Amino acid sequence: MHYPALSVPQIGGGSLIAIVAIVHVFIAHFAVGAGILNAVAETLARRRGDALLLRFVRDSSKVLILIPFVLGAVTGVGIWFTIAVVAPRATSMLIHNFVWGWATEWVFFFVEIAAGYVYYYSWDKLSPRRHLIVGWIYAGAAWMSLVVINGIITFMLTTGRWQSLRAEGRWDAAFWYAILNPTYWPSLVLRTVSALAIAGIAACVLVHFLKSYTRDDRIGIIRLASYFMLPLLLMPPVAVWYFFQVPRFPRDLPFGGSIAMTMFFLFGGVCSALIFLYALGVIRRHEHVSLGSALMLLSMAFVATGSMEYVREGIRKPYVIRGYLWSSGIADQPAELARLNGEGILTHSPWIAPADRLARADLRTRGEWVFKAECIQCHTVDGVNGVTPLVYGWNREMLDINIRYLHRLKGFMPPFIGTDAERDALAEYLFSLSPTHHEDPPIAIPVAAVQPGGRP
Amino acid sequence: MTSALFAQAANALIPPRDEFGLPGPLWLFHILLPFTFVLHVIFMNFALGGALVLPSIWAVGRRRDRRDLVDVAMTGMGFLPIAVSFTITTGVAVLLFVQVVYGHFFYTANILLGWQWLSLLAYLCVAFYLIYASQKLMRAGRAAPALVALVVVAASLLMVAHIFSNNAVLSIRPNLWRAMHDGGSKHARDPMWTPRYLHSIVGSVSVTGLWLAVLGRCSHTLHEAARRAAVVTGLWIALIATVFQVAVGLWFFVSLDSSLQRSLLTFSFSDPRSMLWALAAVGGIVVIAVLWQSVQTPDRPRSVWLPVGLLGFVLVGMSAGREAVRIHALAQIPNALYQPSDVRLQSTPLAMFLIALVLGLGVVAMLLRWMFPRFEPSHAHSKTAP
Repeated sequence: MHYPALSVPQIGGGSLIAIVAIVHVFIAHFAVGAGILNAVAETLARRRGDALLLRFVRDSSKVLILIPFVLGAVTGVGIWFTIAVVAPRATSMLIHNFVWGWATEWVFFFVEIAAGYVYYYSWDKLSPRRHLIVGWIYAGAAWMSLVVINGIITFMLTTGRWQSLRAEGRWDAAFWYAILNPTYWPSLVLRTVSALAIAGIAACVLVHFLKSYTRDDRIGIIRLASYFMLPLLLMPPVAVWYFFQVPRFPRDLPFGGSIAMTMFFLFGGVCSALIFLYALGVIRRHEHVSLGSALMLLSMAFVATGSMEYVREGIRKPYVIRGYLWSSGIADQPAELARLNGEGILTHSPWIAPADRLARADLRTRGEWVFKAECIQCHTVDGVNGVTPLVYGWNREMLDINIRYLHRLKGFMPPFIGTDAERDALAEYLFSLSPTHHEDPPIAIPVAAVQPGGRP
Repeated sequence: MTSALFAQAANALIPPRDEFGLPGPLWLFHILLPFTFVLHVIFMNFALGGALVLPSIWAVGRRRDRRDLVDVAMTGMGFLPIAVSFTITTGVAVLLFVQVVYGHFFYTANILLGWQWLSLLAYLCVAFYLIYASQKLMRAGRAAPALVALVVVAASLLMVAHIFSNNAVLSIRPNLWRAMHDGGSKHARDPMWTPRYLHSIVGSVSVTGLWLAVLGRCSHTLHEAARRAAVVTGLWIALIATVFQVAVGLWFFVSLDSSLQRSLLTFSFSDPRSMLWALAAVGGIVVIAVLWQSVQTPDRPRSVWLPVGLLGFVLVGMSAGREAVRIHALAQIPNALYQPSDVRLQSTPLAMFLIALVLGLGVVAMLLRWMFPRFEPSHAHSKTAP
């Protein structure tokens, strides 16, 4: 509303964020899990004098440098960039509430990167004890960055007492209640479990790309890596704990309330269960995992991560920050709603509706501007989540009723905010998009073909 | 009158300050932002300057059959991925604090640049992976493809600098916004753009020269001839680039509005930023004189460490000046900047950050001490050339 709107043709801003975020989350979880896996494996290798395991840890430490430190860091910055251009107001709110949380997370990130490089470059320079300490520093710093960031991510769905404490001017308490919100702990367990599993699977893949490992060597390493997938068993009870903390409406969405959410939730659940069962089988039978199977497991882990992230983002609707900021970028606050409903959204959207053109604009143009001001953060015109197929066949009256009662007809949609004239303009614009407006004219039936009594 | 109306229309486009205010004192953000920016530019300068300078040294070394130069370039390039990595890592902190204090300008600039802004991520990825690829190609003796990869690395990082220059100019020039939004051009047309961009490039070459000199002084892996070549070549590069940098800096200064020039020349103790900037500007001239001395007597320890210290101070002063220009430019717009009354202090979260920062820096210092236990001038441990 206060910012220019970035046009993301076909895929829309929401999908752009989702693509960058899912790739980043997957790599970031891998970085956390791999740090722990490396530290545990090096500890075991040094205690047992296991040269093979030590060689594997050494060989695989380069992957930390090549994937999380490059692609992970760039996609991490990428999330900031994309959320800021698609939803600048929400980003600004999160920054101004959690800057010290983010700054603390940055310190852990800085330590993680420094420790990661020292870990990789110091195999022949440091004593075994010191090298092991560096490995644990890396693992600890990576996990601590998850510990902090998890609070900000979960806050957006379950804000806890944050609003009331803010209203009382208790800024410190508001911060801590926001970070340690109702879904904080179950989400932290879920993410840690997921990070360990991804690292275990990645080790199964990686061992195939390292040279001079025999089949027996690989079996030993794969068996150790499979133990990191076993905590997936914790997922169902922790997920139950998580969903008990979620308010009723968003909780219902992945359990049949929304087809898309239910489907993605099932994807995630089934993939996680299959990975767990596979790992159990590998451990019990001392099985070898082929490269193809390992890659399939990795793909399943990616699908599971992506699906669960999609569900987490999806059930937050119609809010970006639950109870405070609608996904349309408008605050669910009485003063703001009264102002926008009274004065109109376009008078407060100077980028979209320039004051000198507003009075001269026709109804459809104003409707298009309202669409850009309120809808474009989630919808495209005819791409992903496009409105054109959604209004197929609707007449003006149906559009008017749908827009007027939008949030009651569809619980995941925010209410329309603006004046009556703006609502009419939006209806006119959407009507112009409706395919029936242009195609499929009614088929005229010749009068002669109609028999007396009204039957053809 | 027309310009006043134009300014009024431009100001109407500026988004309001965030309703949640500032979670810490304004002065603290005005320290944290330049502090993290200095950390960022130290690595950024080596990443960008290294991508420009090191391949050139490598190519010259190969053409003239100078093994010492080739070794210097190869060793320097070994640090490039780390420099890029820490450029991003430290850049995250700058990104964070700039959003707190100037987010409403920064986000608008990002959106106006749109896909160009987002393409920055692709350029970074390409540069990062091609640095690794070029090292592998070099080790395999495949000079031509390695050079092609390095040219792409340099071009990618120059594009990143180009995009950041666009963003920096747009973030303090709301009068350019409407034309950019309506016109479709994705270039911030402003007299300060070209000198600003050149300032970042030439500065990076200068800093890289000193990085090389430090490498020559401290490396325990390079042989004697290569170490000396690193010191001499690095000091010469730093000297020549700093001479150009002073000229470009002068051009940059002249390109600013007269009000901004005046704000930098106030020499008031009430504004330490402009004081620091003025001292740094003088420091830049002193660096040239010191570097000239250094290239005559490169073997003396202070020939490297004195210009390094001075250039460090110049970086701090220039960062302060950058902040002074931004504040003065935006202070001319009514209600644009946060005021002390906007502070909603979160004291315990702030304490958490400060404690984490102290501990984190301590851990990093310990790691560096472990990694470089003999961080001292390497002339005491001279090795002969192989």
